[in-house]
Amino acid sequence: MLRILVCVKQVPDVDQLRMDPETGNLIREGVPAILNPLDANALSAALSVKEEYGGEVTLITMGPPAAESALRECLAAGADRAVLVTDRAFGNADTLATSYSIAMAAQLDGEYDLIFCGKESLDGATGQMGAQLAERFGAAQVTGTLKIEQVDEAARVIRAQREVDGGVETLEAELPCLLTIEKKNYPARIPNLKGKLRAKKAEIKTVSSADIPGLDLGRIGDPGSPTKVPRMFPPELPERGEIIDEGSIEASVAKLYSLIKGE
Amino acid sequence: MSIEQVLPSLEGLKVILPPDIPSDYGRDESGAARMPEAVVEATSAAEVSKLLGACAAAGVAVTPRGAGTGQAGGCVPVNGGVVLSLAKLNGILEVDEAARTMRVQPGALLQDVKAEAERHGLRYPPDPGEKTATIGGNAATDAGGPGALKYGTTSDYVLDAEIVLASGEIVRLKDRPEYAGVIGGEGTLGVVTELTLRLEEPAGSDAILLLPFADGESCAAAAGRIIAEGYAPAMAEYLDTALVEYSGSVTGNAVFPVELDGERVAATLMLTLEGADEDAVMEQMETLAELAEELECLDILVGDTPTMKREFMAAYEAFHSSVEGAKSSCEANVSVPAQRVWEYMEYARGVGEELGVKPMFCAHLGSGGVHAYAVSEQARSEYAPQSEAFVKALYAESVRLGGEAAGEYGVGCTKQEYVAAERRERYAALKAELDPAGILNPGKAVR
Repeated sequence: MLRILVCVKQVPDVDQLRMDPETGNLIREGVPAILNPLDANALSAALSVKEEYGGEVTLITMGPPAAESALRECLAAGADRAVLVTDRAFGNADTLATSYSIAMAAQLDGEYDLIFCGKESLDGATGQMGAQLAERFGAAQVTGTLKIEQVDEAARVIRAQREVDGGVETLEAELPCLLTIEKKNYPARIPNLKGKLRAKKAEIKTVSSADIPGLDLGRIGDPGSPTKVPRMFPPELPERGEIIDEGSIEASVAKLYSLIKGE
Repeated sequence: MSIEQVLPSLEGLKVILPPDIPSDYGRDESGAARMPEAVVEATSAAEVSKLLGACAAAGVAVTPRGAGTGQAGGCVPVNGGVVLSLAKLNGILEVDEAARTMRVQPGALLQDVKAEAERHGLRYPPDPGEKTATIGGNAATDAGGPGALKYGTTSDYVLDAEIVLASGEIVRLKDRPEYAGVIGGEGTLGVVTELTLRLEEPAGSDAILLLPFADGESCAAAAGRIIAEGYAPAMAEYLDTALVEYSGSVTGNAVFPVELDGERVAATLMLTLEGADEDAVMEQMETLAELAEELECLDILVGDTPTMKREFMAAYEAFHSSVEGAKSSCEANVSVPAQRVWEYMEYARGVGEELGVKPMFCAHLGSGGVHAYAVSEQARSEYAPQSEAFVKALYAESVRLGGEAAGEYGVGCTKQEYVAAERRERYAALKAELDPAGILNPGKAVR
């Protein structure tokens, strides 16, 4: 049976996020947290594999206890089990510390054949987590996966298409393999009511730093994060252009001409 | 009398004359078109009053206009004369949180009105879909939309208004009961220069459910049953899978189900449930699940996250724009009694087959508003004879079934022959009183 891991993240709903223009700080108050939208596509791809070849889909996320709701959302859509890595000690982690923490926590449940990640997160948008996790898991990686063509569990090989500049290439990789997923062929699954009710009652396994034997506390959370953000500021928007519509092409061209001449 | 005689009395107003009139002022989204002889861009009620007074005296037609997003030619100056643009009279003047009201000028866009209400923790419910329409245009057509089932139409939210009558007199909506006709009067009875809108507390929590059906008739019948059982959905929409597929082929993602466990979905019922909190909504969903078995829907899909709800609404709103983007297209928007929506759609399919037009539907099942769309790869001129015959047949059928061809978009200049006699008489009396010279938006609403 294929063991499939899907890494997800809860992010602020960026559509509702505003920046304080004075301080440059994000105003997080009142902004709901949502499942990172591209992670829903990763889950959709994982579920497609499960539907075709069988298997078990496990979710993992690191975040505050409230991140549980993102996991329940994924459970409702069809995932089998979920792990929440949560502890103050994991807080303020950059991608390096996060990938280390996730990999260490995931290994508590053994090895995985396939690991799925979204392309990037809506808030950080570094797109680094997939590549870092592949390294940590010792897995092959296919980035920008457009379509999974075949999974051969016996031969331990996966064949997938990925987008490259100017075309599509088909890759074969050995398992374990980590795939970051493009949205196009794997639209987010809409949960049904049964799934919703099941997810509401599902037990979610929580993992704290103390639960992970051999965890190096110097490599997690703030101490383990070399990335520092010295300043945040809103981008300066360019001036709005002017639409010239003088009623006729001739009149509009004349107006444009006079503007160019600086009249 | 001619426009030249009016011009001298318009000093101080922003007047645009040919050839400088932008071509947009001669059309809307219906296809009706005629350029005006002058455009006045008003920025105050006093300016509107000055213009109407002068035009009334000279017998020159005035056609009020907002953003020009109408679907019935309501703002097209079919008799020439002056187009009165209210687009720049667009301020949001005041929100009174305690009283839950908003004072707004007619040119403000619906999207801005909604956003301003939300900034104050309130909401303005009417939503015909086109959010770049002006609130004045919404008031003129008494716009509704899918939410009208639970929340009613624009007129249910207009507490008061400042109105300029055809004579140039400035009055308040509350002054006389007759003035209520201005809301929904399509700019033929008076010009609204300010609105006081009623706002509401937003629902604590909501979820959008999708109930896919293997046959369309069961889908159409389900909404009536659900409403009769005491659920009060804010929306109950019939989504024709043909339209879901077509729109999905344009946008790249159909979102709504096309097939479920190998079974073809004929139509999906999109239902919005609201409650005080998440648990209250969940409770409604659970009891609905019991009813769903009887209704014979294939599943109940749930969108209760901000992302999912947004995705549903974006896909829903893409129906209209994806049809408009086709090489050739037509649409008929009418309302029929809610329990006759299926009958109407069956008729449309039949007459469409005779004429070579393949309709796709989206319907507000609770209120009976039906949008029939059709697209074609034929050139516009080739498609026009059959599509026009199709649309006319549908207008006539809507009246025959006891509905209204005006639907949600008003009568404008495209649906006049389909107005019921009783409504015609009522309107004529009002028109004679409020605009005896007939200068306001002639050729519109009811002739």
